[in-house]
Amino acid sequence: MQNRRLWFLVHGWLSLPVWLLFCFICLTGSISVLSHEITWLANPDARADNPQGLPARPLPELVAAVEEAVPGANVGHVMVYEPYLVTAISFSASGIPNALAYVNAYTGEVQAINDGFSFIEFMRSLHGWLLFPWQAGYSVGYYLVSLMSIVALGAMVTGVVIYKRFWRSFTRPGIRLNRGARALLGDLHRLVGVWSLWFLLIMGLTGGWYFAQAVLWHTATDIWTHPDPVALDELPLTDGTPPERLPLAEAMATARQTMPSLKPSLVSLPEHSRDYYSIAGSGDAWLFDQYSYRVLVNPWTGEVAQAREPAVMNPLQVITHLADPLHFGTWGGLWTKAIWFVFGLLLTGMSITGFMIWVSRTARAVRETRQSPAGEYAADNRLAVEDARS
Amino acid sequence: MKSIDEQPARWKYCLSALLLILPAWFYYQSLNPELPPEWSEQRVGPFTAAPTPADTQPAYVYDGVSLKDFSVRFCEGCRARMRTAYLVVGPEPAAIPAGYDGIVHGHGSYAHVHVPYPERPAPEHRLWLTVQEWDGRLHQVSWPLPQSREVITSSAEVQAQE
Repeated sequence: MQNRRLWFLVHGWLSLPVWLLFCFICLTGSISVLSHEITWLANPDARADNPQGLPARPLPELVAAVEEAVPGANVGHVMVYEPYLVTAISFSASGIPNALAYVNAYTGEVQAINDGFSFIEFMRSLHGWLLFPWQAGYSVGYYLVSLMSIVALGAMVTGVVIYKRFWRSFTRPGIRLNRGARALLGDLHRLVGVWSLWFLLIMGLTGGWYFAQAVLWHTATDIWTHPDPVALDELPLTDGTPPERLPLAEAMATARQTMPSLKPSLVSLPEHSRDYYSIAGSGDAWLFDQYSYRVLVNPWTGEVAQAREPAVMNPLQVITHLADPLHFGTWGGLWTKAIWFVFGLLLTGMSITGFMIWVSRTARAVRETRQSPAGEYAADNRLAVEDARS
Repeated sequence: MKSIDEQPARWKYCLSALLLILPAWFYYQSLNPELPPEWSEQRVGPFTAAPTPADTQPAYVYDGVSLKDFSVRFCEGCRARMRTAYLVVGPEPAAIPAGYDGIVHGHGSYAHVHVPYPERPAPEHRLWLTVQEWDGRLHQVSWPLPQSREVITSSAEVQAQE
């Protein structure tokens, strides 16, 4: 019993000092999971309506649409989202260092142009590193958030130990509604906790990986090695007029030939004359993220400079490309996202009920020790045991 | 035994909420970025360029290389007319880099550079921009570094065939 009391204390020590921060991270994470759907609901310009059932146009046509809408536009990236959302194309132009065009992939219409702000990116940054600025390879916020994995795993393990016969929450789930607020809070906390064990485990493990990744970034340990820039002598020499580089459509055709299953989700145009086209997307491999397949194409020779896909990945690269779909529940589409969202909210609620239980527990402890001089420890100990029972 | 007659200090367990002020502050900062002033615009061959350091901090070390980030504003439409362009801080312009450090990148006239920059620059160190046109002609221009900026001398342009 004494041992269980210790675990009970550890459960509180881990969670109580950071419960509000943890709560905030769970809440912003839950919103992040559905950020695409929220964008669709909140911003009509972000919807790719397709009443005529047209096929999606090739990405180079969408780039051309932006270049036509904004003369002198210099396109950087093309981001393809779910079929019901616009394709976002980042560009700069005269007097506009950074902008984002929302293009309907079915009609080719540029529906909106904004200054580069996107709710999806904002939520990811708020959840992922609390908007702490990035220094050379690290952000203090990223460390802070990923360290919350210790809270998630710790609360999970200690919770299972102190909650005797926790599996009864599966076999005989129940909440006592008529035994006062404290019993209700405790029942809710335990029931939700047990049903969220798998979710806490996934969040804890992927969060722990994000911490490891932060260390790798900080120490400049490459997970993927990027090919050196194109050698200068591979670039044409002309009479001074800029030469034509390989068109985007050809670079994408090369990528498709290299990886027939590649469905592009992030296409990056060369950032300078010695840079490559980068065509990244998803493919056949289950659970892998939407950048697991990537082809780098030399814009002058048309050669493939690098081809990345799950089949050639080392374990570290596999983990890198599995973490996000598991963490954000995007691997199975809308259904898994909905499940992740609900459990994210349940976790948000657990940090609140956990704190409320502690508040009512300590309030009662004070009340009871006032009535009998048995001392704080005795009251606290008894309550701990009571909590562990049930 | 300590007195337990008072309520337990619940506020202590709410202190982590103070951390949440920081995201709001960082968001405000990102909306109102304070950039150091742009350095003087100079001609480099047929082009013009004006660098701006990303911050007033000294150089940072990443992957064993001492770097400082700059943005460079080039004349409108000029970047397409450059075969390559790179920046380095040193006593003289460097050879064309094999890696990415120093290469002018980004889309459009507002470019970014991770400039190789000594942790403690010597008085004779300057920020050197080398630009090559598509016909191979090289142009170089330099700026004095902040601590030696009181002596602003106009730099000589070097023209050379590749």
